Amino acid sequence: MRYYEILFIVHPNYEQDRLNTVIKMVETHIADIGGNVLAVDDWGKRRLAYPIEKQKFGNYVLIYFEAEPSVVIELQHWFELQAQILAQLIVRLNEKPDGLPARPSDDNEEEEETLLIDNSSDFDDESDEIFDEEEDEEEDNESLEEENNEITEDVEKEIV
Amino acid sequence: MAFISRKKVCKFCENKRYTIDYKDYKMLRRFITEQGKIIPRRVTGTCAKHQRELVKAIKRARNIALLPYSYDVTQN
Repeated sequence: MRYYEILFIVHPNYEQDRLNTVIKMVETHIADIGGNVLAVDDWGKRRLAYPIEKQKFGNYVLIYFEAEPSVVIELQHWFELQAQILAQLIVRLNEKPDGLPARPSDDNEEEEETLLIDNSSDFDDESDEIFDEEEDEEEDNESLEEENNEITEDVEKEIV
Repeated sequence: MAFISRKKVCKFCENKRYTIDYKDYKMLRRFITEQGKIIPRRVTGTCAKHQRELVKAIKRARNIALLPYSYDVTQN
């Protein structure tokens, strides 16, 4: 038996009740093929980085399980056949998962400072500055463009 | 003065407790460009070992739609 984690995306039309039944179904399937579900984490509905099957959102679910290596490919095929699951990613873990990891915060409540959860302060400050500077430059360009637009508008008015 | 480059140190070597994980896409976002390309390690200063892990994590995150394969720059 090896430890694995699977992260899959359920169709956004599945509301909480039906989402729970999907998660149950996945859990029972993992049990059916001789696997052992260790932990389940429902991340909730998130915006996808790119549309999958014309959907812009999806319900992310993370499951830790242990199973024999031979059944994992079957499990992957099974996931691909499920119409309500948009995408899935199975990753082998080198050691037994110790509790659930901190789930990434949603884009809506974005805070650049919490990029590296608890040890962000250990990171190099200089590179942060580089990133900030780049962002500032962009803003400057935007504001410049705005000014230019205003100027052209003024010129147009004068011509009129 | 502006052309003197400082010695870059791999961020992940400095911070040994942190393990690179594809699920932490907020962190991975620092290592991709506005277009979504992976930034070369000669720019970020990441060591070869950690750049390999980083690339793997970014590609995994792309696969599961946590990160885009590309941003449409012209849209803005």
